[in-house]
Amino acid sequence: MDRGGAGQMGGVKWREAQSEAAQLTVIRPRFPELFEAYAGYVWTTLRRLGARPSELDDLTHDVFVQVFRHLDEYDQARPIKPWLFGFAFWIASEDRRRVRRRPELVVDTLEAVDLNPTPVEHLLAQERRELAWAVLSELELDQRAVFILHELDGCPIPEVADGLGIPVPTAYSRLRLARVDFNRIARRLRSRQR
Amino acid sequence: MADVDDSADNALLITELRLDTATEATALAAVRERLAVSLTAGHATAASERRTPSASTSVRRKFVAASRSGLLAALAVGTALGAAGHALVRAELERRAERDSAVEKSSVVAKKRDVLAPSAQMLPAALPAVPVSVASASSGVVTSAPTRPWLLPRAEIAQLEAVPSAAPGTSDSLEPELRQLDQARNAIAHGEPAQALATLAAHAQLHPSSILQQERDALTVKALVAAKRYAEARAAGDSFALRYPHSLLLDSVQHALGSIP
Repeated sequence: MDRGGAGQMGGVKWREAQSEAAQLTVIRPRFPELFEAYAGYVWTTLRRLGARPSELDDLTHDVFVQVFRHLDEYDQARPIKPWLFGFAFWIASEDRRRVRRRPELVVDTLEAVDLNPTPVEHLLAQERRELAWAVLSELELDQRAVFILHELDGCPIPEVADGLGIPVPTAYSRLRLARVDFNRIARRLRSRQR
Repeated sequence: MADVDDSADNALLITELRLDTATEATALAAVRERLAVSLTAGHATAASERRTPSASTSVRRKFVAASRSGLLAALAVGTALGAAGHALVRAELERRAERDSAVEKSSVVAKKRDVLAPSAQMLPAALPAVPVSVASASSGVVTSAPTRPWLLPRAEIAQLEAVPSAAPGTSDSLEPELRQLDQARNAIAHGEPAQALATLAAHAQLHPSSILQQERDALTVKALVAAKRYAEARAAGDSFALRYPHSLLLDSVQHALGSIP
């Protein structure tokens, strides 16, 4: 970026040297640290996007391969989570397409049940958690992506839109639809439970 | 009104989802190890002599086109994703295809989950350079749109698929090797370091100059620590650090050594 006046401090050369230095010392997230800090986030995001449990390791690997390859495109001014989410969403969508081509496989979105005996309140919490996952898994994927980033990750809608590469009004509209659907699906599944 | 109750309940559901960030520590460790082999240079540096020059340069040229050199500098990595990396990405694809046709593994579903463990445990490794999302959240400014790789087809990966595996010493299918190392990793996770060491030794004998050598060496350090063979573990850890100074696995190796009482 060119902020200074053209004639100052020897002009072009100085700026060139400066920008070169800036390029060398620019604080980019180092990949290993990025992985340590956000592998869990990517894993969880893929789970929320409906990736099959048996595929989570492969898909997390795939996301980070892409992150590695596009790391130099990451803009420090932008928050990291929506950026990573974009890759996860892309990889999860690709996977979904693959799964759809193999109808014999069932998409298992519910979590493995802990078989250890649990006190009643844990059981209730677990029921609620399973219901929550079931509701989430029924949301349409585009809406779900906005819902996850905004409601679960706490990202403001402009960042959500940026991360997913969609216009801000679209993001708002998807969020609204996702909320309506979430409530509707929850009501339906609850009535079935009782 | 029922809607009011519902909305309170639904808020609880959302809270549940927000909190349920369980991840599998062992699975993430495996991902880290695989990434280390497919991405970083520790191995590529060691393997560079084994690579045929023509394959190496063509592959590298292709890769430089895909990722700008700044990335490599930022990673403090000499060469990244050389022939070894490509072979592995290819192997990954083959492995995936193989697995896709098979019936789904149920064991993974049953794997024990470690609530919140990995990210929380690994964080002390520090991330000074990683921006905190909250910091820039306030700006809310949508900056000029960068390329959005996820909107593109996976052409590059398809292209990788077409790259012939050129590195001598790498077999066409790494699946058996990967399975062997998976066995070793599982043995360590299940408190059977002796078995892990035996598996690793068998792997070393069968594939002395494997593409997965880095992974094997890291697992060996961890198995030695688990077997309480501390002196050997330290020696193996030191030689790992010398051999793969920029390895993605270095942190986890050092973490294992740090657990020695």
